[in-house]
Amino acid sequence: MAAAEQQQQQPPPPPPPEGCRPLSALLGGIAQAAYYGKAGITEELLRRQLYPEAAPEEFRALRAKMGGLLQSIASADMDLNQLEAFLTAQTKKQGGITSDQAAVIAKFWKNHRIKIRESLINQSRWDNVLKNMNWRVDLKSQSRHIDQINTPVAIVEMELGKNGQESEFLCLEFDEAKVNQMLKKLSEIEESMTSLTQAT
Amino acid sequence: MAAVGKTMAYGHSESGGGRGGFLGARVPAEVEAMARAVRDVDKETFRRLLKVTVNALEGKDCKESVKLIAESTNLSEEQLAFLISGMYTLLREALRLPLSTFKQEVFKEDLKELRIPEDFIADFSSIVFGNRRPVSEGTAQRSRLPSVQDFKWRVDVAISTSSLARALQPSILMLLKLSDGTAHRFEVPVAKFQELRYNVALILKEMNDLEKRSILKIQD
Repeated sequence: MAAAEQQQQQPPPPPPPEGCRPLSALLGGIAQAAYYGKAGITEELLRRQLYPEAAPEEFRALRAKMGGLLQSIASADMDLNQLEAFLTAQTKKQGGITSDQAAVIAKFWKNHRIKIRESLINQSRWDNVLKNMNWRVDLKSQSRHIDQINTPVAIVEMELGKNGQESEFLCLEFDEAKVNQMLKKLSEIEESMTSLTQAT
Repeated sequence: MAAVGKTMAYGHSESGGGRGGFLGARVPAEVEAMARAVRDVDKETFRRLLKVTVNALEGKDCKESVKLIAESTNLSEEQLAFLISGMYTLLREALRLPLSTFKQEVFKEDLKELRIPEDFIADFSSIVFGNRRPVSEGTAQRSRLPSVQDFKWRVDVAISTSSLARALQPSILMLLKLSDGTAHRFEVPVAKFQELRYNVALILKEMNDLEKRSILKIQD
């Protein structure tokens, strides 16, 4: 019961090695490397920064355990109920985690769930993805061809890119009729998606 | 005709009194040369040459046709080249001008000044003003950028992936075929799709606003 009370309090400022801040930071470091694509976050770096008194093998085991847990949680995209059940089970296991650690993991997942999910979805996108679009509308004020004046033209630039590669920029021209057509098709897509999400 | 061919190198800068016709103050040398040489060409050959010229304006390959004409007439390939190049320039310049201001009578007058035979003037005229007007790639200098010719799409739902056991994530796949012949395939995440749709609607609104606001309405 004292332990339960402790769980609800804020962690004390100087944390013990198994305390909240280093663990939270460790989870952050693991996420940076595994999900946010940050290079150069080595085990040694994490150990020195967060658990300098721990022996390398000890730290390795800790990192592996936490990494494994995070992966299970992320892969299943657990909601709060599933998370609670999962973490509780882990606290009861032999060589599992403490309830303090469970609390830290839960808090971390609540904060990072959406971002990590987005990152995982991106990892399964292997084709070009539309990253950005810019546009402007031109109106010819003077022209050799008189019938071209007053017809607006849209110039659209689309940034298409793949993971880790340089983007390709697609520059296109649209007259009003084409913009209309495009808008119609996009509305069709919107309708299709709405009916899809309603069905599931 | 060989002599005429040589004259082309020293083109006159004046023709028929130096009046600036649709070809400008200086009639291009090849047009002048053609105008002279074409008087000695029979109608049949002229029509075949005209056809080749129109094909050239439409961007088609003409080497074979020119060879055939050379074989069946007593004109050398070189002479044919001069004739066709003159006809090409003449038609190209005429086709650039908007039909709203460039009138058939003016065109015919200009050709008369060049002393092109009447029959041939009629043929030229029917190309420029008739419904055989070539749809050419070369003369329409408007588009500098490709436009979308075809747009296909697909909504996919990822059920499960190697990174995410339960994904259930819809995504839109688009295939754009452009006027320059290239095709581009890309995925659009749902959030980006909404942005795309919003932007396209905004572009349309801007275009409509611009047209209404336009103070540069040039009336004929």
